[in-house]
Amino acid sequence: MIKKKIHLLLQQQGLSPLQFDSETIWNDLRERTALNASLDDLLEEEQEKSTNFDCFWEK
Amino acid sequence: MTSSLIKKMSRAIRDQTVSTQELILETLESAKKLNRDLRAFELIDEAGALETASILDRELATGIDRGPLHGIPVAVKDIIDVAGWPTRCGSQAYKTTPATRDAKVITNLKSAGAVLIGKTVPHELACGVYSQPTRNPWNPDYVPGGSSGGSAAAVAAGIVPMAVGSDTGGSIRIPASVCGIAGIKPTFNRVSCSGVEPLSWSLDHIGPIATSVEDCAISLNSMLEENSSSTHHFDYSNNNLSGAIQDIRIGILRGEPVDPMLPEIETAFMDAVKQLRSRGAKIAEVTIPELRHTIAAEFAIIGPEAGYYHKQRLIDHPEKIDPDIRALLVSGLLLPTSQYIRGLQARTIIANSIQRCFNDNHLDILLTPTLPATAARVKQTEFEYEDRTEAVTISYVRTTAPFNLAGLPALSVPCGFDKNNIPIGIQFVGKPMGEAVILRVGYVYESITSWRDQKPMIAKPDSFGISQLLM
Repeated sequence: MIKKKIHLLLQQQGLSPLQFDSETIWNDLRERTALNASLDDLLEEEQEKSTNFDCFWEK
Repeated sequence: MTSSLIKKMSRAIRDQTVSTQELILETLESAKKLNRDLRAFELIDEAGALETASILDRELATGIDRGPLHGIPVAVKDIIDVAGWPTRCGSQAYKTTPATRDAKVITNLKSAGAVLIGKTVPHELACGVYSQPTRNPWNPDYVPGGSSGGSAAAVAAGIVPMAVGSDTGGSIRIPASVCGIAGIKPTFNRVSCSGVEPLSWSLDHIGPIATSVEDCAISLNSMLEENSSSTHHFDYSNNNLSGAIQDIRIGILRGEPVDPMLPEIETAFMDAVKQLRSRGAKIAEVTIPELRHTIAAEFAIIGPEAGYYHKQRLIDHPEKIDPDIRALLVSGLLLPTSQYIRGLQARTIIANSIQRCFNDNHLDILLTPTLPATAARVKQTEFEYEDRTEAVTISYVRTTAPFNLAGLPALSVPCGFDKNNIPIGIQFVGKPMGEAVILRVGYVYESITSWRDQKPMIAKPDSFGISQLLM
């Protein structure tokens, strides 16, 4: 099931599934998704605050 | 006496102690000789460099002086286009076809009179900190850092006084730190990335790696992309680095992401703080808790941007790309866009948190160890800290990448050695467009320390011809 899903994702990007190892990709996607999820705290904490990047450059 | 090797070379050329051709000939000889052990150069262009040197000698004889870089040998990281040379990015996935145009930064350096002698080894696709097969000049068992490892090794070995590097998460400052030299990542987009192979377009920066802070300043002055009417114009033509630093307020960054660090780094860093305080700088300890999210934000952005740029290479020749880098590129293409957007949101928050720290504490400079560790051995994958082990790449990037995310200028300067005689660096971070301030304070720090007096294991000997004249 996972292998099929990875193959589909690769094909959608024009990549050949034969040239990539599905399990390696799956593990990597999981690790990166977990790392990205660690941003939850930061994003929630700052939800109410101003996040105007431009103002940083003008000061 | 000046600490600038560029100034010494420049003076020797102008008072006719040596000609540009003689200087370049000796540079090429040392590059070829040392490269057997160092493996810092991907390409050395003897004929081209000597031809340029001959033209520059003729110009000086007829009164044409292009400024402080006139006749100075320079090396270029092999992700930057130089017309007539291939750009390989340290990767088999790139062709050997020569570039047809110079990158903008190369155009600027050439018109300033720099003599390009060759291209230096990057970590593949500028995406890593090992830069193999290049060795660290202080000890060939150690890596030179990366991704601008070849550029740093060539400068540290004394082959060239300056080499061009790029920095997406620390790739100028990491190798400068572990090779015991200076390197500055300027404010985002202050040096043009046009003609440079991107890793991550919104995080990439171009800057010099040089033997001294002064040589960084001289080089940066010629690399900059700006008009003279800018209110933030950086002008080094008045040699404006010296001066008191009593008016400077420095924030010492504590907690994450600087901690944990190796004990030797802490000792060297605190000694440097003491030196700066003794010169009158005002010191305050600060924390920026948001920076603990640096790695998550950095990688959420690099993956999609790099994956998108290299997509055709993944389609054509995925087997020619290193497996770890390939995984980063593929995941960047496959992960949902929301993860990239969250990375961009986190980046904004991180940049704002640094701004608040500068403003609330009335800081001119933020000071950190450049890295929490020194150079890794060639096969080493992790560092051991008191409470954890951590991948070498993560260790190196966590103290440098916050300032790529925020686009701030950051300078690494040597501040000591570990027990294995491997260099340690200190990082001066400035406000946007604040290069002049960090260079001034970095210069003052460098001038009151003697770390630059030590020579690496692999280096051009002082007795090597023209080097004697430059002592």
